[in-house]
Amino acid sequence: MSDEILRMAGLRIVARSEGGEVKTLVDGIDVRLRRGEVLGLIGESGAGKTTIGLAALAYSRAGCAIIEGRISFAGGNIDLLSRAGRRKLRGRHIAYVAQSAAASFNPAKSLYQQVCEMPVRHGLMGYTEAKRRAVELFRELDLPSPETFGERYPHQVSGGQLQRAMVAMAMSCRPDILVLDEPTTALDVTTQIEVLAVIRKLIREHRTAGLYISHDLAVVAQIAQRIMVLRHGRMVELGEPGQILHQPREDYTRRLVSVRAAAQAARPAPILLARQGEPVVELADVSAAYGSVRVVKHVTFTVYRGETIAVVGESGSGKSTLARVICGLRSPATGSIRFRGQPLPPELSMRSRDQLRRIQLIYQMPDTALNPRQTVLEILGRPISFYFGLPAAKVRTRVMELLHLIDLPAEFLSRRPASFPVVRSNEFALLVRWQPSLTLSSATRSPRLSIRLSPRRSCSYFSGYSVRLASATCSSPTISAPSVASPTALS
Amino acid sequence: MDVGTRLHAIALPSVTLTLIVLAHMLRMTRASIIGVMSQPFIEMAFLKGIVRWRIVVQHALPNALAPIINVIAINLAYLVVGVIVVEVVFVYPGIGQLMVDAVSNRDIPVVQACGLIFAATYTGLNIAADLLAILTNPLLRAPK
Amino acid sequence: MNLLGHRLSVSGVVGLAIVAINIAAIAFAPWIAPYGQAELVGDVWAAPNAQSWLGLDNLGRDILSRLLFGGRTSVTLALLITLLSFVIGISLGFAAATTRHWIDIALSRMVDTLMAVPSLIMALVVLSVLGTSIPVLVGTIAVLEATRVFRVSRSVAMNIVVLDYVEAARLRGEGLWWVMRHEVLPNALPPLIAEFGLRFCFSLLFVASLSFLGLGVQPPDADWGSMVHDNATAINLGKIAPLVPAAAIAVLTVGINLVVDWFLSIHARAHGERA
Repeated sequence: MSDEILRMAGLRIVARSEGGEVKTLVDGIDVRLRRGEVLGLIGESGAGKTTIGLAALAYSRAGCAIIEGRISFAGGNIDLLSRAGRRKLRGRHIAYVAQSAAASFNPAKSLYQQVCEMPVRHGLMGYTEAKRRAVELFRELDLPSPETFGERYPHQVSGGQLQRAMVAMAMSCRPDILVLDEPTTALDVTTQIEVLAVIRKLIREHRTAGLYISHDLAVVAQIAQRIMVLRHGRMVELGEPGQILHQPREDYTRRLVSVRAAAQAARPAPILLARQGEPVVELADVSAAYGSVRVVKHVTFTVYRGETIAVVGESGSGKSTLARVICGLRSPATGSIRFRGQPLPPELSMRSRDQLRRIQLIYQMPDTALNPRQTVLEILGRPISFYFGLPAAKVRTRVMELLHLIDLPAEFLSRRPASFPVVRSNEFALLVRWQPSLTLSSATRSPRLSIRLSPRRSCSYFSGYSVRLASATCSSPTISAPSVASPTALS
Repeated sequence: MDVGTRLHAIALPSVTLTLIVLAHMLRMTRASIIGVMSQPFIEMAFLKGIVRWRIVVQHALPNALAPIINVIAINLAYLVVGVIVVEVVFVYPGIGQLMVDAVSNRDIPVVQACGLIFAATYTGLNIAADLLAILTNPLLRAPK
Repeated sequence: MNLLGHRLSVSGVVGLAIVAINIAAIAFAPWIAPYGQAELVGDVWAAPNAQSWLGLDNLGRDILSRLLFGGRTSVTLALLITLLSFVIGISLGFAAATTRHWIDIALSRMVDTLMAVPSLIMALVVLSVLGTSIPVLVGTIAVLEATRVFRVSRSVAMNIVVLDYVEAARLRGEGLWWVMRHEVLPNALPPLIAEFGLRFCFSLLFVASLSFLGLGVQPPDADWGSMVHDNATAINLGKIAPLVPAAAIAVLTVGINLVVDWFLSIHARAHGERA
């Protein structure tokens, strides 16, 4: 009993909407967590997982209220604590790792300032010592150049790195409980495995208890000792991973497991399509510079239809610049690009609408790539009406088809990006750039979606810093560094 | 006049002018910060257990500074250039008063000089505001 | 209580009530005003009584009637000027921030030049030359006020155009107007909304200064700001005559700002209210 670190009994949380309607988000949930134990919360979108996770910090979002239930931490009641009391608890004893990294970091402050903030503010240590510990954490999480990593700003690091920085931030105070809200869903498969392993190690070393929220059963099964299945705010089943996965008692659980298994089976080896014919993009002796600094030097390669080419290199090796040159955001200093046999104008403004449609850029982080003030219908519909000139009703039908493709219900049409769970917004962002001939993307390709897009008719250029990832998703990965004259093939 | 008498003389016009520009700066700051407080990373700051005032000042404010700086610049320029009425009422010899007198006396060189000073004030303050606004946003400081 | 599907707070209700009463009063002025604008009713600066609820002004005219008729001029002028200045200021400000080449430099320097001349003097010059008809009056003041709106909207837009989604829209091939209207504007609203509430008051006072100097609203037409100027000396005699129109301006400004605050609260819901 003295080992019990968190207990939530009979939790009931409601949301009061603008019009005065009351919607129950969580109903009658009991959670018991011991030190060092990880409880997985599984369910579909809207099941109430995040709400429960936030309740563990005695926090409810604006418009929501915890109207019933007891929450106690290490034996003491926290739902009745004063505001100051709850504040002292958050971060210090119970820490939260949010779904989306871009939404939890302040764009105006460096990573050091944000990772070191909690221990300093809670009075645990001075800034220099907090910095030292931050570097240690960065090293444990396998971030590049840990000593200087913290000096960067959030927009200067990749999505995967930011996600890991978030975990570092949460662990900075060595909390007793860690609430992890889909921390690895936005990452590609390889990075996912690495980050999961690190989280497991950290949890084990510090005997941290954990609430692991996810919709991915396989991931949760690897890290949790018990799994709770949720639906519409109610508990459906609670049990050990083995039992839930192989001998689910409830119908709903059985359905979830089988859907997952089907998705697994349908996910063949990542797209390794063969070269199929005519060249789509040909780069000849392309160089680009920022002022007098040459960033890309004499790069020559060709991408054929059906092919995915990977450009791999460290930060600063010029891969993003190359992508921007191909897109037309930056003019090359020398060299030329041919697209589908025709010379491609170097400037964006000189290209035809059709050319623009066929070359699209997929951004790393969906949070900044989608306008927070536009609805799904507007975001998806605009490229369709802009390029194809379809009337509003047809656009709407098309958008609904697209939503169906990634399993989003039609009610999402009037929602804004902020209310998406992260994994959805990634796929959504990919979808927005659909129907290109050439897609340039970096590091967060979702294999599931790629299959469905059947890029048999397209080719892709993929840029990232991980060689393993490159070889897993590309048909003919090439390595590029700024001073290489032409890319060399990777075996 | 020694410092004490000078301060005493300045007190009333200063208070009047402060009240005039206070409204603009206050409402702009409030609106700008509310706009930033609705963003997701602010919620994360609350979940980190940081005190509310610190969140507003250290997390929200740096992101909200651009329009605030511009309003300050506009009002600063107004205080130099546009307070003729206050100068007349409180009878203190400011630049506005000088220009009006010079116009009545057809003293063209003084009018030209005053015009130049006004122009320099506005241009200088606007440039300073632009520079400061760029400095506060890391995305503008170091483009990707 | 709900309006347009959003909850109305107490202050929102108060603000809307003030604005609504003002609009109704000045719309129906010819029917509800007890006397004409220029009618001499009694003694100079008489105190409020049963015949004239708000007293009489410096020439013996009824203040209440002058408020109602004057409101038509003042409020309409101020509203037109504010709207026009916002349209001009926001379009140019966003355009400058979005294009950021020589257009930005050219516009910014032109605006600097325009701002460098004291507004009152500039307006005097233009109005002396072009006459004091309503369109000229509205146009001149709107252009001068637009410079301030330009500065604010440009600074807000500069922070928005560096974000990925604006670049993504450009990559699609969207034109300048589309980017400004659909990508930048929805994200730039909070500071601009606040600026609107204040510009209204400043415009009202600017019209008053011009009328005071003889250009603008000509006597015997009433104008709230001019009423304050004309009756200013009554303060020394302990009369309330100048305070009434001043109070009218103040109350309407407060009302508009309360409505503006309500818009702000539905547009941007701040976090941590109950954290």
